[in-house]
This record gives sequence, C-alpha cells and structure tokens, in this order.
Amino acid sequence: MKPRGAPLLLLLTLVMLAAFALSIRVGSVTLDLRAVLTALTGHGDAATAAIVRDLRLPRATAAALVGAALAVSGVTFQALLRNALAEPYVLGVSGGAALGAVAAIVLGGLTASPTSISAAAFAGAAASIALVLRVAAGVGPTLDTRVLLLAGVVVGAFANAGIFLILSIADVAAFRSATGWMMGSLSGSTWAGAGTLAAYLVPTFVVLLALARPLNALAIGEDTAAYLGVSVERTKWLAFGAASLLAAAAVAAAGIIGFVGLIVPHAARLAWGSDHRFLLPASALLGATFVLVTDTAARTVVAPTELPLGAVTAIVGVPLFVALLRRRRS
Amino acid sequence: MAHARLRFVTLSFALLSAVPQARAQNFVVVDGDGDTVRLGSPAKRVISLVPSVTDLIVAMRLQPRLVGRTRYDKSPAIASVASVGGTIDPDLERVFSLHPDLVLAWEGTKGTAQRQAIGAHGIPLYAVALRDSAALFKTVKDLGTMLGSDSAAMQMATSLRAQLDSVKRSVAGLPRPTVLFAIWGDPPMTVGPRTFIAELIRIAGGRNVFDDASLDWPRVTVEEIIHRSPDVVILSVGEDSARGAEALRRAPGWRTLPAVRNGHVVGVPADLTNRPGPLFGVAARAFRDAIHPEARPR
Amino acid sequence: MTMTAAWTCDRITVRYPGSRAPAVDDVSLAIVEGTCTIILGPNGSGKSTLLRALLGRVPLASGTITCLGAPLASWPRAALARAVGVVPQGEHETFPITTRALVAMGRYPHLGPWRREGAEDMAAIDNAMARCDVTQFAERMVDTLSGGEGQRTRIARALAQEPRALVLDEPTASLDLKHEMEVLALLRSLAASGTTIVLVTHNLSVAAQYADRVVLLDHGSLIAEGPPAAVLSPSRVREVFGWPVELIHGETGAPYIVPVR
Repeated sequence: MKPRGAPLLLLLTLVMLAAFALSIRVGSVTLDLRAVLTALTGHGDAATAAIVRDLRLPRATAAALVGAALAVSGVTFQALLRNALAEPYVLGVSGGAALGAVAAIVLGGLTASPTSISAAAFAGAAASIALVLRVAAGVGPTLDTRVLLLAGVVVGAFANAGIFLILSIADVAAFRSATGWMMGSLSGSTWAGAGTLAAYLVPTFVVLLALARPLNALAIGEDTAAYLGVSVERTKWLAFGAASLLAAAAVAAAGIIGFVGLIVPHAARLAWGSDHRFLLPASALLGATFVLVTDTAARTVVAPTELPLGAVTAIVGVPLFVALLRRRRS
Repeated sequence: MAHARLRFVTLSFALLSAVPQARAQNFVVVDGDGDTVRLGSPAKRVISLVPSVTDLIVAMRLQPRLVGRTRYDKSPAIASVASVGGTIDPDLERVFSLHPDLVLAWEGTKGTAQRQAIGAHGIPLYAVALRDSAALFKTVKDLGTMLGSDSAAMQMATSLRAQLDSVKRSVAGLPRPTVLFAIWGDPPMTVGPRTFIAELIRIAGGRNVFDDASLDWPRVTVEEIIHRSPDVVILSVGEDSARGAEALRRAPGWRTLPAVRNGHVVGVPADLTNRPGPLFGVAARAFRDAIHPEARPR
Repeated sequence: MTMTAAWTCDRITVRYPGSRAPAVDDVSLAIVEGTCTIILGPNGSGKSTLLRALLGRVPLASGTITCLGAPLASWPRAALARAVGVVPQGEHETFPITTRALVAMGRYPHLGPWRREGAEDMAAIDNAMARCDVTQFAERMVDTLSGGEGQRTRIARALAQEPRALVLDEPTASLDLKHEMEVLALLRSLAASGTTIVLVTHNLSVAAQYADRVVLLDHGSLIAEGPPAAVLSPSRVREVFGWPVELIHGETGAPYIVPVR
C-alpha cells in the first residue's frame, strides 16, 4: 500500500535529505561523515573546510531550491493549462531569461559579473512573462489559456531570434560563456544567491498551497471550478504569476535546466495522484532530490571536468520518464 | 663597340638566366591541413580570414598586400582594408569581388561551404594551423614564402625566438611552481597540455596544474581547483574587468585558495592568450613575470 | 408552502461577442423554490446559455437576475456554490482522479484553503455517493467508469455541496433506462424535500412527466412557460421542434409526448 499524506511527505523529506548529504560528501574528494562535521564546525583541514562550507553547502542548497521551484512551477502550469505536457518554460520564460543573460554576457563584455548576469536573466524572464500575459489578457475579458500558450510560443521564438543575433556578433570567449550559461550550471552558487531563491520560493509556495483546492478544480475545467466556488480569474492570475516567478528565479540562478519541471510533476502524479495539497509539496521534495542527484553527477562523473547540468537532467530524465510511462501502462 | 656589345650580351644573359631562377623559386608550401598550396608568383592580393594571421602580416609590415580582413580585426593599421565578414562565414561575394590571389583560412573550417566555394573558384587557399609555437613559426615561414618576403619572415622568426629564449634563460634552473590558467566562468575553463597556453606556461618556468586533462579546453569544478591548490593563478581578463583578480577574492571557493589569499593572482589580457601571434613572445614574458616575478630583468 | 423565488430573471438578454443575434433574447421568468423546472428547446435555442446566465457565468447585455433573494451579481462565488450545485455537461478530467475524490470536491465551497475535511464533510460525501449509487466505485478512477456512472458521480458531487438548488445540464443523456429513472426519481424526491431543481433536457416526455414547470425556448426567446400540459401542446411542439407529435396520457395524468412516424 503506497504511503499517502503526511507519512508520504515525511518519507520524501528523508530521501531529499539523504540526497543532500550525498551532495555534501561527494565531489572531487569523497568525505566521510566525520570529515563533513569537522568542516562544518570550523575545524580540520582548511581546504576541506573551504570545499564543504564555501562550495558544496551553498551549491547543494541552491540545487534543492532550484529543483523545488521548477517542480512546483511545472505542477502549477500543468493544472492551469490542463495539459500534462506543460512545463515551467511554456510561457517564454527560458527564452526571455536566456536573452537577458546572453545580452549581459556578450554586450556587457567581461564587465558582467555573475550577479548582474543573474539579474539580467531574471529581468528578461519577467519581461517575457509580462508580455505574454499582456497579449493574452488583451484578447478578451478573461485570461484565455490557449492564447497564453500561443503567446508563449511566439515570445519564445522572438527571444531565440534575439539570442542568435547577439551570438552572431560575439567573439569566441563571450560565445563560449553565453552558450555555457544556457546549458545550465550551479557552479557559481553563493549563499546570497541561495538566499534570494529561498526568498522567492517560500512565500510563493505558500500562496500556491493555499490555491491547492482551486487548482484541483481548475484542472478539470474553468466552469467546474467556478461552480465549486473558485474565483477563476483571480486564481489564474495568482497561479500564473507565482509559477512564472518560480521559473524565472530558477533560471536566473542556474541557467536553463530542462525536464525537471516536466518529469517530476508527472512522476509524482503517476505515483500519488493529482490532489495538489500533496502534489505540491511532494513535487517540491522530489524536484529538489532530482536536481541534487543530477548536479552531483554532473560534477563527479567525468571529474575534473564538469558537465552542463541541463544536459545531465535530460540524459537522466528521459529514460526515467519512459520507465514511468511503461509502468503505468502495465 | 665590341665592349658595349659584350656588356649587352652578358647583361642579357644574366637577366635571362635570372628569370628561370625566379620561376624555379616555386612558391609552394604545405598548409595546416596538409594540403599543398602552389603559387606562380608572390601573392599580392591577400585576404586573411584569421585575425591572428592578420596580426602577423601587419607585424611583418606586409599589410600593403592585404586586400581583405575579418570584421574582428580592429587594428588601425588596416582600417582601410575591406572587411569580408567572419572567420567561419565570410561574405563570398565580397571575397570574390576583391580578386584575391591567396586566401588564408582557419584549419577548423575545412568542411564549410565557403571554403569549398573558394577552392572551386580556383583561388589558392592556405589553411592556418596555430596550435603551438612550432605551428606559429611554420606559419611565419610559409607567409614569407607565399608573399615573397622571406626576409620579413626571417626577421619575425628571429625576433620571436630571441624573446622566447630570453624568457627560457631567465627561468633556467628555477623550481617550477604549479600554475592554473583560468578563464572565468561557471564552471571555469582551463587549458589542457596540448595547447599553446600550456606551452607558454612551460616556457615561462611553470607547470600546468591540469596537465593531465584529456580535453584542450576543459571546464573544471572549483572544487578540483581547490583540491590541486595551484601556486599561481593566471587569469584571463578583458580591458575593464569586474571579473578580475579582485573579484576572485570574493568568489566562493576561490577566495580560500592560498594563491588568491597570498596575492599570487595575475591578470593577463585576453588578447595575448586568445591565439598565438606576433605577441607570443610578449605573452611568454607576461607569463614569466607572473610565475617567476623574481626572474624579471631589472 | 411559501412561494419564494429561487431565481427571477427580468428581461435578460445575452449576446456572445461576434454574433449578431442574441443567444438569449429578452427573457423573463421566475423559478420557485422547491419546484422542478425543466428548460426545453431545440438545438441552438439558448438553453445552455440561459443556464449559464442563471449561474453567473455569462455577462448580461441587459436585464437583471436575482438569486435566492439577492442580485446574482452580488453573490460571492463561494457563497453561491454553497447554495447552488451544478452538474455540467461534457466535463473531462485532465488527470486521473478517484470517484470519491471527485465527489469530495463538492465540499470545497464549505472549506477554506487550509481546513481539512471534517466528520460532517465525510458524512455529506458518503451520503451523496449512496444516494447516487456510486459507493461501490469509490476507489476507482473516474475515467474507467461508464458514461452513466460518471454522470451519477457528478450528480453526487453536486449533492455533496448540500445545496438549496441543483442545476443540471442534460443529466440523463448517457444513462441507461434503470439509472435514468432512478436519477429522475431522486431529483423528484429532492424537490419534494425543498431543493430547487432546474434542468435542461432534450427529452420531451421526461419534461412532461417530471417537471412542475416547463420553460420552452426557441432561438433565444421564451415561447411559453408553465405546467407541462399547458406548454407542450402538440401544435406548439410541432411548431418549435419541427415534427408532429402525439400526446399519450398514462396513469400519472401527465402526458407522454411521442413523435409521429
């Protein structure tokens, strides 16, 4: 009998913590628990302490937050768009963010710091979301989800064109840097960055949790939701806004990490059903675990080389997904 | 009168025998792809699609032969020379309209449509390989042959060799500190053993801390850098950098490196290390000053 | 029995953007609490639009609607959902959901964002499922049910809302005979115990047999409104529906309307 409800969430939390611990222990140097604890308390060899406190801890924290943000965003978009294939970047978020980051890297030259690139990515994401919502809202009295989807595709395509244009005038170094950003990486994670992510994630998550029942209803239909007492337009605006914000924050922090926002909600749904009161926290925990594990793999599988995180999530995600689908069939 | 006629005959004979000499001089070279390039006479209308080769041509004072360059060549000496576009994707119409008798292309563009079109048009094409110092010297020599200016080539080669030898001598016998050459990024990029930058490190008396890398330009984890703890960090920087040595002091992970804490971080302009060119010797000196500041001549 | 109005429509007109003819044209009617009102008409007559108007889902071009004593526009969504249960047509779940979970959604109007279902919520759910004979499907996925079983599930959901009024759009369309009769009997007993029933159907005989009042629409206009016998005369039916019919009287006194071959 599959665990449900609170015991399920507890189990998932434990799994995530295990992945977190793995992430701290493993890397160029494998550390045992004692070494980690010594490093945390400020004793022991300086290099190890540096590795644990300055690199692995903030990176693992950021990984968990990015995974949670993308998964929750994906769940919400799937409910709002009533489509199991929706994912966080469906409203042009990734295109806008990439355009912002690439512009900052190529046009800002070597003056672009990680913080300003991140900020530019966020600004680009926010701009494309605003544009998409504006276009969709202008069509009729209500927010039409089909128009939203179309607008997302169009804005995304436009952003891509802008990216290609900018890349075509980039010199070799900037080109490498820009494409590296787009492939996704948690390499430059700082405590400040993780803190910003948490500041976005926590309140947004609470808002979405409060909208869990309305999302359940909306996943069936807007009329049905209205007949069950849901303020449909207000819920849509709030939820779209929240989900987009999460996607934008995740992309600004880590570049374009695909598949998490599509696969994790799917897996969670297949395993535990579609009640958003559990689906939201379960997906958050599952997403955090997924990115923790893939990021650890990205930096250890071909050490000392580091693989782009976006590639690893796809390589790991696709066979996992196929296996999940097969299990459902049988 | 017999005197004058004799002089005339001798002179003509000398002249006539000089002509076949010139033809037999044979402007033939083997380029970076291993193909043979034959020119009937020294090239006078050269299009250079490789910025570092353009730099070489300017340094060898052969820029009057240059009729086309890429848009990346911003040197004032060749401002009047027409731009034909990019290294990989030059504008073929411009190339053909300039009637070149030699095109210098980059070895990495072997399969491109542009190169095939140039070849099909019957324009001699020399593929430039600039992997390491040996390739650099070969390119210099071949340029001299193809442009009919062996003396300029010899001058350049001698000057470069002298600079490199001077650097080598200044660090002879000194212990080799471990050196990290890094291009900032998340994750950062460094160089493998077969690159010219690795060669620069060697010439300058250091040891590449990633000399076991299998790739030429691997991206590595900051963790690994901390683990290997280089003695010296050479950072590739631009003109005005928010990503310079100062920024390393604040970056997580980096700031705990002994090299960073002790100030053994030197920024080297990216132009010097993007590709080997006439400033190769200058780059070697810059590396030597970073790795062995004590060996700097007063 | 008090004759309070569940709904009062005062000269309402509904226009969909882009179409010249109104979908509902200057309709006035009153639906009394505790009665069973059946809205009839051929395709395109505006039945569903009228239903949506009663539920506040389409804006009115003109006119007003009052619901259970207050202007419809002033009802907050959740409050309206506590008073009115709706069984829509053509509903489709995007993601798999169990029957019980679907019925349980009927309690949403009574629960805030954070409150968990309590004992009385559970009782309402169980009760509703029992009355609609879907208890045995509780843990099955709704998309594995037959059309009729799914329909009964959605009726159970509306019942779980414990509403004062039930609005149903073609509720017996996919039901087999036994279940159709059972649903209709259920609706009648609900009406008898004070729940207002408003339903849209195609089935003229059902309307004739089960309605207290019939509302006949054609091309958005109200043709006639009143007891079935008064509204559904053969000549009027032939005029509106375009086919000759016969009335056959059964034991109940209400007619059966049968098309002539």
